[in-house]
Amino acid sequence: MSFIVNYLRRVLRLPPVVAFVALALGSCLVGYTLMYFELSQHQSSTRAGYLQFETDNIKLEFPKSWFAYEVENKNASGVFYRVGIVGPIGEAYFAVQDENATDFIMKRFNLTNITSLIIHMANDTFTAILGKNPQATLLFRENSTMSILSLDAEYTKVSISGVPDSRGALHNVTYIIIAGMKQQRLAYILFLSEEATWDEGYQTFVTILSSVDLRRWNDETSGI
Amino acid sequence: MRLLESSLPQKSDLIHAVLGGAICFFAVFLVSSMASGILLQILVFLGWTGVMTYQDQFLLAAGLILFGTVYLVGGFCGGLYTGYKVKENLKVILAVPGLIGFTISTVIAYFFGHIDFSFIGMIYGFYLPLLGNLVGAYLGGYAMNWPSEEEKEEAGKLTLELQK
Repeated sequence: MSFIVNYLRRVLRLPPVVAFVALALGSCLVGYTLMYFELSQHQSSTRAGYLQFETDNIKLEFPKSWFAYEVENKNASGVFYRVGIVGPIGEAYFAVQDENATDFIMKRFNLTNITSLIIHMANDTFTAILGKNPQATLLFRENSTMSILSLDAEYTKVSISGVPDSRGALHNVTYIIIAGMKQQRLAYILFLSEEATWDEGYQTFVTILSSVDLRRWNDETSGI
Repeated sequence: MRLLESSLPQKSDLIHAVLGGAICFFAVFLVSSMASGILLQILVFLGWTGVMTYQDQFLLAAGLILFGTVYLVGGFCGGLYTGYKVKENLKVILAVPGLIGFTISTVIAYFFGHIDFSFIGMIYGFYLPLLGNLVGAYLGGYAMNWPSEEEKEEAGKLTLELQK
């Protein structure tokens, strides 16, 4: 044992080994410091523990332990814009489409109004889950209207039991689908969370939602 | 002519350097999957996953962490083997394990579409791994050939005796 300790003591004094250890520890330290500064730079000024996400299209705040991303697809069918916010107790998706993309979606799936769109989305989600677990069940829990992001929207809340995760474990998941239209532009929001964490997750979702500023949606002259 | 020949690396040295490159690649391959998982777990534990939202800055920070935990370690392992087997022309020979390890991992990453040619992508996926493997290999190789205190004392005595 003392031989090993003596050997290590000798080896760890060698300048190349010292340089190696210092470089390895130093680069990790600089990496974590960079992350820390990045987090403090984007800290929300109004909500503790929240970060700001700001792009040309959207401005919102989300918890530090969640992460956000945006995707914009432009093709012959129109402009499809989506923001995802994923966290340990839920996932929220905001989607906006321009007039052409809205028209394309409504015609493609034979949809006549917002209600039919919401039901289509719920059924579509359930069909995808049934493909993975044929024993899954769908329960429509609530249908109503709400005023959100300066538009009158409709929403539906559904619970699906037996949703498999990537490891095959089954979960009971609740979804809320909110959709509305403004100047022929469709906007929809989806939030999902496990039933056990729904209350906490939904509170976070409401906080995120209250901070959302869909810049291009509100800008009537822009493409979306 | 003889002087030039003696300064050129021997064939056996080059073979050991190539083997060192293979060791460097396998070490990077083994450690990288673990290090990425551990980095994510640390972010989850600290409640910092939000930092991944700011892609460019996150890639730079993660690249620096992987430089120290993966590429430097991989290069060091390759350098240790090469330095153990090769005792001459270290300045030239020790570049080989780092370069070979980096080339193999970059070619594999390219074929799997993991290389991003943006400015930050190049720093994260190209410059930091290259630098880490090269510096690691040199440090590993010189660590194996660095004279110990006893060797230094003996060399000192020999010089004194020769002077007498």
